[in-house]
Amino acid sequence: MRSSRRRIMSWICLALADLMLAGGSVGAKTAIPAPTSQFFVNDFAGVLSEQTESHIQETSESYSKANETQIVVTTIPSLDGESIEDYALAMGRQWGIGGEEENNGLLILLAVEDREIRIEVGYGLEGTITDGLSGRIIRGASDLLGKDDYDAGITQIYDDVVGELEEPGSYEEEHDDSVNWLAVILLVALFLLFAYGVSHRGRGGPGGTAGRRYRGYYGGPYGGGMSGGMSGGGFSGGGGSFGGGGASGKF
Amino acid sequence: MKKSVWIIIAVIAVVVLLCVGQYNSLVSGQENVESEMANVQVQLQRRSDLIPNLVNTVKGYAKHETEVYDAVSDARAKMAGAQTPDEIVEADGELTQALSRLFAVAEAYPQLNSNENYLELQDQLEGTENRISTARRDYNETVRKYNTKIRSFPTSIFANIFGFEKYELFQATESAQEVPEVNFD
Repeated sequence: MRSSRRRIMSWICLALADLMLAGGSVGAKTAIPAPTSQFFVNDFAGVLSEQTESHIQETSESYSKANETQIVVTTIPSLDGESIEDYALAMGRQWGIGGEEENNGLLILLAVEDREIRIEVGYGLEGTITDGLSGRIIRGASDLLGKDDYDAGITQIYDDVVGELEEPGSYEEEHDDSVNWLAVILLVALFLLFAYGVSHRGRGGPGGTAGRRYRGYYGGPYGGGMSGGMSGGGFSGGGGSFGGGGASGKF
Repeated sequence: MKKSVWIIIAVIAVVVLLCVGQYNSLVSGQENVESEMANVQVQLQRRSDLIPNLVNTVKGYAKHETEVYDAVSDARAKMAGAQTPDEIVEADGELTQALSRLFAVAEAYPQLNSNENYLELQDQLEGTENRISTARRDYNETVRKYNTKIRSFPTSIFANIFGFEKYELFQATESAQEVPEVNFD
């Protein structure tokens, strides 16, 4: 009798726990830490420089104000046996990264000990930051991450993502492997001109180098101080959700 | 006389209201389940659409692995016909197995492995698979809530009267979780 009663009690407890957990318990079994008051940068693993942190924080803040797009960077020491996909999904959903209507949140998650990284993309950004692009961006930074230069690696990934959001298609443009024929023709022409000049004992023409064009990341000047409506002086998630889009990589 | 008529009318009204409320909430529960199922289907379709591209890319390097390509296309066709969670899980297992054989074949071609197009297709496929598992989990979560609801009192009575039935869950089979063995015989 006693055991059956105990069973009923435990059943009730389980049912209650189930009810309470039913809310947003998708995915990770490990507890997801709460975001820091900064919200956009959560360097739990302590691998980012102050400069990088403020770069991310300022950029993400101005972004968030402009169109509610929330780009969050989190570093953790370990996944505790969880898969990075489940962990990132649970973190994105629990923190509610991105606007509730637009679901335009993006999470860059670095697990230092597991040597894994993931770009988790909210529903609303899946069209811009595709899985294929996420994978390319991660592969592009895997050398830096592989050398344990997390600071530079994360910065590169972050800047690539922001650049792409700012100007869709820009990553493709900059990393286009195909030969730029215009540049080749110009170079050949320059060489011919130079050769002509030398053979005629004249002066070589001035050579022009096409510098890599600088793309400003900031949508506008960042006005100091937080805008109203944010409680406690910090930022928080807007309730955006995720469906498992993005890509992961090992390094 | 009149009073009792009013009481009967009141009782009937309460019962009707209760029925309407219960019925509507059951319908909306069912609607939620259906929409989660639609999400799963969308992601399955998406993966299905990716596969021919992937196969063609691999074919460009490894022409003679027809057996593997046939296995993938068979599994893909089976997937397209799967409707219930059980059918989907079964077809999914086969497709995963066929795809991992495809990837194993691709391993042997270093050029293919450094082909950006191929890597991107692989990313897309992985991303879609991750979405499928997310969608399946969300579906299960919703179904669990719905199934609990139609079995708990007093909703169970109405569910019985109106013929609302339990939905099937996605049961991850052991074989689907395991990494399939690859044999080159």
